[in-house]
Amino acid sequence: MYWQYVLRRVLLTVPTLLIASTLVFMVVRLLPGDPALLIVSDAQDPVLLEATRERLGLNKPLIVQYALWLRQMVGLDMGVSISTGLPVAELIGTRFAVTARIVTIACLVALLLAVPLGLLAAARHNRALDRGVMMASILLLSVPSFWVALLLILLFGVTLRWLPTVGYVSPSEDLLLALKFAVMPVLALCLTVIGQLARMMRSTSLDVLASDYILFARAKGLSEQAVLGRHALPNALAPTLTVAGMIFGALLGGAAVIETIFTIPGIGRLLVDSIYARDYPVIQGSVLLVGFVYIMVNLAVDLLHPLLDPRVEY
Amino acid sequence: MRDINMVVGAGLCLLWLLVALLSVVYMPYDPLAMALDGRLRPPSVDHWMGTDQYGRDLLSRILAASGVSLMVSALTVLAAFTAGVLIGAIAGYLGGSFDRLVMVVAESFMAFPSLLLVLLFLSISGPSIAAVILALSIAFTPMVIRVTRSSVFSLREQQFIEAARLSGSSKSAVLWRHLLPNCVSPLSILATSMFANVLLVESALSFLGLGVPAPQATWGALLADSRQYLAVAPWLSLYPGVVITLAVVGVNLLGDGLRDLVDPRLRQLVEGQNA
Repeated sequence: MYWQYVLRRVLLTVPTLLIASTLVFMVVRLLPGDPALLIVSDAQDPVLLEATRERLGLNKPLIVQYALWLRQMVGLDMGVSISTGLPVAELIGTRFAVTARIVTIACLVALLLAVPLGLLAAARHNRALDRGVMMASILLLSVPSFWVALLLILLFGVTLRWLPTVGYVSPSEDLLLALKFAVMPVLALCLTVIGQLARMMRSTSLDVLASDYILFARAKGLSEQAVLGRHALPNALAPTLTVAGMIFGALLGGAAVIETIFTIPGIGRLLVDSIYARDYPVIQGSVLLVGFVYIMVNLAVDLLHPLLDPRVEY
Repeated sequence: MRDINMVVGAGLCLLWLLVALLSVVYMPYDPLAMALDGRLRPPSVDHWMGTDQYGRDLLSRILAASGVSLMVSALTVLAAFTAGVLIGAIAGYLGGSFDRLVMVVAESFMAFPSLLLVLLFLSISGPSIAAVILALSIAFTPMVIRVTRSSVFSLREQQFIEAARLSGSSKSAVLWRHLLPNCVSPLSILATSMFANVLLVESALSFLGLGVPAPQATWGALLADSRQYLAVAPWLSLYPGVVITLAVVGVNLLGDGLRDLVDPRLRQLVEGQNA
């Protein structure tokens, strides 16, 4: 039964992946100007231009181009960056790792704080704690993360001088220094996420806490701790995890702003830079990669959902 | 408690609207007038929010930007809803292969984080206020399609719709007169949360220098400008940030109020769309 659901859900991602990749392909083809002109060194040389078009397959019908392109993408052959000359796959791979690390930490920290806060708020429905958590979370999810970043720099970097303001150190070079550099970006990213997740956790917890099996657990004389932790938490967690997965995926692309502020060499920063430089192979590769990971994360979360909450029908 | 949320939210939104309207007829200074002898002045009686690196009055710049930010967000939500409700309603009502096609395409658009999609579109069109609105609308339409479609889909088999159909109403009459009015509550809640989201994404775009081009400035652009002067003129970062936050809090509170008023159970439906 569960495996049927897994199979169906996995099959459903195939058209999504295909259409998503078509979208990226079409958008890049819609770009004004001839891609060959961007690549050749001497745009005046008609022989060279024609050879480049031939090499890029630009003289073939669109559908053939798409098929060829798709085969290249699957084989991770994404071409060469126009502005740096590096292979795109390699470039986006290293940049993606940097972003993924920071976003993963931010989401984990946010989950660890938001889940208990949301659950406790629901358990104290309409009391001071609940109102406090709700007010704090609406504020957190409304504050632009890039403004939080500026405030953090102002506080910890400029005024208190506790942390280095901008820059990036790889954890393989110097772990402690890398952590110091990561504190502010992670904080800036996770505050918004805490707001979103705490609200989600609270509203699902309210539903769960109102259900019969919780009443039964209470009637059995279980402690409040056991009722919340062992009975309410697992079922209330599933929708929050789903949203956390979506947020994680969104942040992989959305961290561009934070990466810009802290000059972190992540995939978002790479994308913005390559938009400025009109470096289309890199734009295409990084958008595809983030889209692919986003689809996969959502798939994973959807597959996890019924395992966490046995009431879900699939 | 809920009423207070609603009142504060509506109040902040109204204030934003009034400020934007006011800025058309009155601003303390010309927001673009430079005064090189009065650069980076801290807030004072003359300049309530200080001046920027060219001696421009920050309050006037924020006032001028309030209209641009409001217009971009409002037009985006309007465009996304016009297209999304139309497509989603038809897909949900007709069902079948058209519905499947629309949903697969919408899901594929939603496979990309909205900021990423907007960046992708802007990389083709180049920066202009129309391109920003168009790119934002395209990125946000699929969510409207999904919510409209699932609302219509769930209402389709209800008895009052069956009754309308049996009494001889045409397909379009059933759709417009009976189905869509019943989708207003989830859609209005989606509209507020989307409005807040659009404002944040638009600010992020401006912050990256890919939003509405100068000399028109949105709040995000003011924040972006302030970055270099963070250490010497922190007020340049503080005030625009406070203003964006207040606007987003206002819209979010209004949305919460609406939601509680209409149907508390809708919370999850819309919150899931909000990532």
